[in-house]
Amino acid sequence: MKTVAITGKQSCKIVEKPAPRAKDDYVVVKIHAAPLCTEYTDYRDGCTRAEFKRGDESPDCLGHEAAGEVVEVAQPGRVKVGDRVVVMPGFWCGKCRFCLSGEYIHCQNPPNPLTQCGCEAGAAAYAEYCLKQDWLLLPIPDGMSYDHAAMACCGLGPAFNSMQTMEVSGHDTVLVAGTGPVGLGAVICATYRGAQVICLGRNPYRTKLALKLGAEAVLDPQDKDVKQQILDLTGGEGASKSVETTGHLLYMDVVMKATRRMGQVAIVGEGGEYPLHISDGMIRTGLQLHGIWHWNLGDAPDMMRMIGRVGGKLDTVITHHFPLEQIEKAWQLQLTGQCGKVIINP
Amino acid sequence: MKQAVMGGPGGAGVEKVSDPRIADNYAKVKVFSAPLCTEFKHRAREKSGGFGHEAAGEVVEIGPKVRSVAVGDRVVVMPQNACGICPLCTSGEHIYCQSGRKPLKICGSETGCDTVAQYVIQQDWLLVKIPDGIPYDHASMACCGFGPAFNAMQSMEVTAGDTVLVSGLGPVGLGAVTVALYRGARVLGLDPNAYRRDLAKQLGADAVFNPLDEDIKQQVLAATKGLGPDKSVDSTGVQSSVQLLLAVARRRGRVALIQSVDSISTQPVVWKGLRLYGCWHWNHLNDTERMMHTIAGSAERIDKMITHRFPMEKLSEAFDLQVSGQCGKVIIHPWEA
Repeated sequence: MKTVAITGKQSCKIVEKPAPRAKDDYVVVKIHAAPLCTEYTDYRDGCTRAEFKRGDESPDCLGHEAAGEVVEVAQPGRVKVGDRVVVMPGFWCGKCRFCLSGEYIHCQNPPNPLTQCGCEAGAAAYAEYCLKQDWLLLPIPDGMSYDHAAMACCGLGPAFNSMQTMEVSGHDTVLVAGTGPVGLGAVICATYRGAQVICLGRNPYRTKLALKLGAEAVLDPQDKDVKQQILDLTGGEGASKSVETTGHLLYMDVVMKATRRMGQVAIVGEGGEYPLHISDGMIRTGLQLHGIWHWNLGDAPDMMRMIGRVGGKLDTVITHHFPLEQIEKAWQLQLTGQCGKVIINP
Repeated sequence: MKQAVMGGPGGAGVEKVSDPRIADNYAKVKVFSAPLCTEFKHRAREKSGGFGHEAAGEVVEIGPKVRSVAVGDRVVVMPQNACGICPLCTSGEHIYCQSGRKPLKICGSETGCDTVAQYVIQQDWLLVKIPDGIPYDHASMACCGFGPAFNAMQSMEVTAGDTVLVSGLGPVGLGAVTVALYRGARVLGLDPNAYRRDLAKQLGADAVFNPLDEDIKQQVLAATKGLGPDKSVDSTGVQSSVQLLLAVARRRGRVALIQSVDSISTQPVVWKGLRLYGCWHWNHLNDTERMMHTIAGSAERIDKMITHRFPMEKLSEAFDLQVSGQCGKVIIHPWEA
């Protein structure tokens, strides 16, 4: 089968690998939609490490979002050949308290699927086929496209969990920091729940997308009076709930200052550092901070229901499609920032 | 002032009475919108007198201990004469207060406790301020128009993605439809009255059903992929309605009761793991902001939900209309001729 290897800074190639074979509860999924996430930074930096730092360090773990069709099973289980499924990210033990409560993303004993199955490839989503334990596959309802269903991964996932955790409703004003694919997903999730949405962003292409998806305003975090602008839009109070998707200090700082007292902040953007003054920053403001990565498996029916009802907005946020052979072109596009969510269709 | 009274020709009329007096923490409110609730059901009663427990208006005079409102404030008047001291009152659940006050005695007033009148009196902490831009008629939905339904939605944590079944599409049920839609839920309605089914549909209900249909249970299940609604509200107080809601509820679903019924079989409650909520009024200390968001964000729907407005002199006509069932929420304007 065809898959991808990063070969240096802004350099990659399509490589041929043996297709994986099903074993135990690992099934083989033929990938129809593999959304791009943050792997373009690995491509940019010539980083050959695995996406999932905690687990498998194998360089061919490129791509962790996918939807496709089950083509091989080794034993009777939760899915059968022909099932259309969303492939959840990562490989997890399925036994620990986190896995059992649907929070598998926090599992501390992730297995290596290649060793488990004796396969050379099959961990990556930027490929024609991948391996996945059957309990990490979500059935796709009839009538829902692979592209839309695949948004249950990072397209909507971290944003969805932020909304679930902060119990966002029509009574909230949600400040979304960042208008990249994850931030745009947060606009979709928050407007779906009836909330007023204000975004922070600096990319005109994505500002247009955010406004089209229902954001009331997109403000520049570098404006000196950005906090005042947010207060003006919220009756002087500030946002009741915020989602930080950038990992940049500039954005985080606005979020912490423009979220109202007793408000909540979900932190989704990785990699950043933020100096937090405990008293003024949290205690005197009564803020609650949540670290959000993926979402709880038990919420799958709610996630699929939401996807079914926001189809039009998903068509807006998914701006580009590429075949697997053109993944380099897709990564180059991501580097320009002139895109929403980009999907590889192997 | 003028005040509506039960009795007399037509079953209801208007009387001239003394203006109410205030003292202590009571404020005098000039009533601009007095929504009608279930009073029409009592029009034939022998005892005559004032009535009404819903109102919105302007504060025109305040007692010496009033702190939270000022003359000129636009307010919604919360019902009941609660003590303000017990844990229920101080947590915003004053509707359940067990040691009510006697406002007429405290204020030395002969009038002021009935809202279908030109003036009413109430304690300052039971007056909810109306944000700019919300008209009195809309704000008055914070009484029974939205109140019990809002509490039901808060209690059941109704949110986007939920399918909510509302049984009874009278004024309270239509309020439930509106509040659920504001929260992004999908709404189904039940009522034998075609006028009200149509009104619910206009508000945005996804589907409406006649509960008298023989296959009503199958119809509701068919509209919910065979699973039943996530959450349901009964505003009828009819035994068969509550029993139907329990029968079609999804496993682990939630059901809010706004009207009481004498007896129901709780069997489905146990084997389906249902949660039942009794909802009367709403918590105005915790949720005023959310209530006012809901009202401001539902303006177009409220205009559809309020089908009729009458001056006080035409009360009898308003009652006739309510008896006919060919209406949504009906509002009396005490200062209009």
